[in-house]
Amino acid sequence: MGASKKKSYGRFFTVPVVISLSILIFLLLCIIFAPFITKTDPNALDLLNVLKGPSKEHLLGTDKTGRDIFTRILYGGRTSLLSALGVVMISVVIGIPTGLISGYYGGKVDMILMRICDVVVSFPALLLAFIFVAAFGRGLGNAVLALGIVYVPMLAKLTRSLMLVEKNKTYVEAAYSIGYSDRKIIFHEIFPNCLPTILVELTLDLGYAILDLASMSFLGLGVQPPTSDWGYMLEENRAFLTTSPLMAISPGIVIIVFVVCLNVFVDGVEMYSDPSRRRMPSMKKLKKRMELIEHA
Amino acid sequence: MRENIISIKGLKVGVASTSGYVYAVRNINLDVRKGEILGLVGESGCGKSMTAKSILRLHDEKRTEYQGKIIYENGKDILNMKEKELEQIRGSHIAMIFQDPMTTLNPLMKIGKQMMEMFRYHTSLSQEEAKAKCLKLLESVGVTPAEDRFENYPFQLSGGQLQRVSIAMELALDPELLIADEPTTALDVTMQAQILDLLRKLQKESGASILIITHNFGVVAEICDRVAVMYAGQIVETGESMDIFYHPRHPYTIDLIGSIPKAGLNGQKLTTIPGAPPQLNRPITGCPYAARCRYADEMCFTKAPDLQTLENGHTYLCSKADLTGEEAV
Repeated sequence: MGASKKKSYGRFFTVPVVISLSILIFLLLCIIFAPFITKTDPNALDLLNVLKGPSKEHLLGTDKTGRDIFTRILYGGRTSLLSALGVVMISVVIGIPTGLISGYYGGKVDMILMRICDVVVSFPALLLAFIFVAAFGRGLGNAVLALGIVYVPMLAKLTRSLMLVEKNKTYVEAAYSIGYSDRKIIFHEIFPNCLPTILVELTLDLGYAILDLASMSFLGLGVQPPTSDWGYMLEENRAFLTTSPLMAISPGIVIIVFVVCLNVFVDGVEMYSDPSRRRMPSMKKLKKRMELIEHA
Repeated sequence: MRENIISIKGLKVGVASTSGYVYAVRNINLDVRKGEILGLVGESGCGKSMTAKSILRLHDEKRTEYQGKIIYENGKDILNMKEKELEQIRGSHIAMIFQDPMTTLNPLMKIGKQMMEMFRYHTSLSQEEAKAKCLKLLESVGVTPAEDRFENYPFQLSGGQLQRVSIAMELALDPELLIADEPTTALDVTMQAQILDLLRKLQKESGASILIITHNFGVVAEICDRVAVMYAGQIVETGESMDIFYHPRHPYTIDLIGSIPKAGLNGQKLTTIPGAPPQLNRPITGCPYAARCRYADEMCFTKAPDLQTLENGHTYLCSKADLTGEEAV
């Protein structure tokens, strides 16, 4: 038998993972290669063709200034995903170490870090964004920074509570008795055990970030017109829901598809990250394999 | 006399509680000699594990107070060491096996990877050398086929196999002292015997010392060279294990050995020790065992017992110097 290949335990590519992953890849490719898919300029005004329905030139119609919705969705993906990813990255880089350290050491360190988090939590997100914009000027970058900081406490507190559960387990004590340093224990022993839950939280955050950025853009704090963005399109086209519904619905659907696929995919990753929960081959296949062994 | 690898002098360990420190370990003197298997025996809550964990300083330092000294081989006091120095000793010089093998390994890491990590962290072996060593270790503790087990996750193995793996891991760096905290308690009886045999075999091969913590005199009889009996945070008797087994001097040891079920005692009730150990959150006057002791008189309740030493190194903590436990055996 071909047992020479190192076999990994369980299957990562289950049906939901394959489907969601291929949709995600398809979406990403469309966004990356937008200039090759459509030749239209996403910001080109065409005041003679305002609020048109779907047609050959405009697959999803045009908006109130005659811009092509389809093109704007393709290009808008770039802004949306990059900025939402930026928000999540900021919260990861600050929030996870904060939570891990605060949970592991406890005492005064924990006290100080958590009180800082409480202050940030109690500060309204929009107000913080306003302050950032006032201090550093308008722009997507500052909105991302502000929102990223708003997301930090949630992640830090989640990580901290996971750490509190994990750090009292015997394997941590055993790691201690082997002579590992605190840093190694926190990041190599405990963190992987917290990761599955954190990953799920992060994918949810990514969805929220798209919508939160949209509401900031709506107030003029985030995306600056004429740049297109999924969330912002949803907000600005909402007013035309009765006359040309496709305008608001299509970016909405793209957001839904993206977030749902991402969640399904991450569920798969989460399941795989715990070896005892990995998907095994079906009973039918296993039976067949047993028969093969018996016959041989 | 052989050299000491660890010498505990006047150790007191206090655990923080709302009303102050509860001294679970009170004034312990204990030497672990080179190349011996020392058993630390006592009932639940008598402070055996507290003592053992103090040797590696595994307690949460914010809630624990240490007094006394734990002198390591090199003459340094473990209780005064810096964290960095301690990390050098943990694992490479003093290793520890825990009670429940199911939870001592990181559930998300393959067994092989966990073992390799140890080598990567503590030594400068190359990837291949480390792997070869891991496989050899797994084989020597009887986890076979080693190649397959190397790629397994902890949840795929049974408790007995996991305990073997953790023994292999702890022995990986050739420690001079192995602390085994009730290594067989979570396992069934046949597995217990196998694990004890394994420990004995590995000890003979490596010449390391083992401090084995147990509440089971059977374990002591099977593998220990010397025994220390603990009661209420104190060591009440130490000596060669056969000597203690056949000639116990302290009433607690006498009662403890007397309550082991024996073959040929049909229809008789099992002997038990009445009462419960004293509360540890207030000072104890007199002998802590007095309330349960059948030899106790008034003096035992008021005066703390003195340490008696016999010429063969057998020591016991009792005011009644003339007691012999022959009738209990």
